[in-house]
Amino acid sequence: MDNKVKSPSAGCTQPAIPRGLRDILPDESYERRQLEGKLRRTFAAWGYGEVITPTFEYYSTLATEAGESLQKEMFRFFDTDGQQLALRPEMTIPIARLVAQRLDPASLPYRLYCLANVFREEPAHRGQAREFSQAGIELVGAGGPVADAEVIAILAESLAGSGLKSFQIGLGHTGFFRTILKSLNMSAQERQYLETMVSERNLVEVKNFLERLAITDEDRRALIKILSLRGGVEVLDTAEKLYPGPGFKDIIAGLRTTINCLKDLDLADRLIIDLGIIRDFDYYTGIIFEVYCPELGFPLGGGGRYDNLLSEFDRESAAAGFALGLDRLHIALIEQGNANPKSIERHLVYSKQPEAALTQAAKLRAAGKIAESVLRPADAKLAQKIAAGKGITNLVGV
Amino acid sequence: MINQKNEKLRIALPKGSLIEPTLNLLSKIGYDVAPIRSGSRKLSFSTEQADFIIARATDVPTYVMYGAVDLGFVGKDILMESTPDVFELLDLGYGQCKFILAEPVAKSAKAGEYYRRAGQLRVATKYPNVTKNYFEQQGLQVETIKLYGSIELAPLAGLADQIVDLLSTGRTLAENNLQVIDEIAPISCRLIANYVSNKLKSVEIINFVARLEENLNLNKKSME
Repeated sequence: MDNKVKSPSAGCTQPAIPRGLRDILPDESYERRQLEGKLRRTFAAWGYGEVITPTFEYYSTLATEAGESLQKEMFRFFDTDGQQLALRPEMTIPIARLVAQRLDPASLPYRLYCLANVFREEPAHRGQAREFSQAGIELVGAGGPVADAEVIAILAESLAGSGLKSFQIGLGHTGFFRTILKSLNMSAQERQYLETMVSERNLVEVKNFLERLAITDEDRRALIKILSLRGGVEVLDTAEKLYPGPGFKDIIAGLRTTINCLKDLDLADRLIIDLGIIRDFDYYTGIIFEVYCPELGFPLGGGGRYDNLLSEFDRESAAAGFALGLDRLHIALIEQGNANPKSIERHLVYSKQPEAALTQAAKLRAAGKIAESVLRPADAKLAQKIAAGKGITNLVGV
Repeated sequence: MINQKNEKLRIALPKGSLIEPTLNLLSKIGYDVAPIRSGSRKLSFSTEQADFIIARATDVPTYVMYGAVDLGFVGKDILMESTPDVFELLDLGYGQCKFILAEPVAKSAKAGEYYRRAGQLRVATKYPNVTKNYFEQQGLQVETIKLYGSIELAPLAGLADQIVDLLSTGRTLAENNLQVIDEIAPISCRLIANYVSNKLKSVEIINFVARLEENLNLNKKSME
């Protein structure tokens, strides 16, 4: 039998791209740009302005506070000056760098958004390969529960505005787990181990570890309960009872204000309060949240508050934001049957004289139509064949 | 706020030795598993309470991680080797065995000399990641040789000095003149959950886990 894998003819190169990268062809591209347009409209309506940052920066900039998970995943290289550079693995740190370097601290808050491709050395999982696209916002210079509500409201509105029907936003706070960790009597090493097991979502080992730890049964049960506490606002009442201390009280009061703001904006039905959310990036200091939709086994995106990140660039400022995976959002829209497939009317003009077809197509375009012409002498039969191959329904003979 | 309607859970069961105890457990907490037991060659079963698929054990974490199913039953050995991004919710207690390091009874001294002079050991295994992590912790350099079965053969044929493998009874080791020199990790069957399912179907999953836990605790008590 013939081998189906063709090798290139002598002297030619086999066309190929590295693993985890892909090309986007016109139909998908059309849907993607439509989707991006809808997201841009929501961001702009809230007064956010777009920023475009370099695709690569100094590695030392991008490695700031990014946490080990991202440092390991960055594509790094050296330029001819011997500087160590890296492709951006996410957009929050480049925007924090931009704010610290370019913007006047007197006119805070800044409302910024970006749509950009990011790069990570990680295995491909649906819509997230070595290069993927994100849409996100950063609200810099405003802290507190009302600012938190603004960020989550924009997330919910931009998802709804993109046409996504079924989705939920899981809302948590880094303070719950950190407060409990602080309250437990254990060594730095034990704390590190517990944090790792929690972030690896290994609840079996978390329980086993807590069994071995010299803490009261009550503390043990409370910690396990907190990590799996999720549902409506009532979970905040439960959390208050489990941990009556001041650490939880402030966090919960803040969350209640945020949730009430979202209620007033008619967005509360999108929320799941989830005290067990742990985000991968180390820079979060307050609320954290993620987007889930039933059609996809991975979150569509997420974000949170990171009030200490700007201080890494010698600028004190509260900040919060989110990033959505555009490829994943697009997959979710297709799965929910709501991806705005291309439905524009195209025209194909043909003639025995291709010059005449070219002129006629120009007239159609002048009348606001989308028109292309057959660039060689063609009869109706040939034109029909070409049109069928391109999915064009309107034939114009000259 | 949260989706209150009771949605059916989608559950992956592993082909092989874990399926019988898993079906027993499901049956004890009130699930109808008769259609699965019927001996047909079907790989998916829809019952009133849940939808089941029967997958190759090593594939169960993949079905769960991508959200093709919400939950899966799978051995800890497979989780340790493939480290999928899933929630590990429950230790089910059955399917017990261990990861062990073994070498020929007669060759022990020689392996030590080989390591001293050649700088690394040759270790045959079906589980290269488990092997790599174990020896990194031990601070020993090894050359891992990946095999797909009958690992005990490797030291006998002179392919490797030691093996990392799963051990349940120890009979195969003894019959091939191998001895355990270290126990790496205890293994048992685990319940795993997809990340998003664990959030969106939390009511159903918390309920399912509670029923399993209740049954496991009953078993523990009856054994005491």
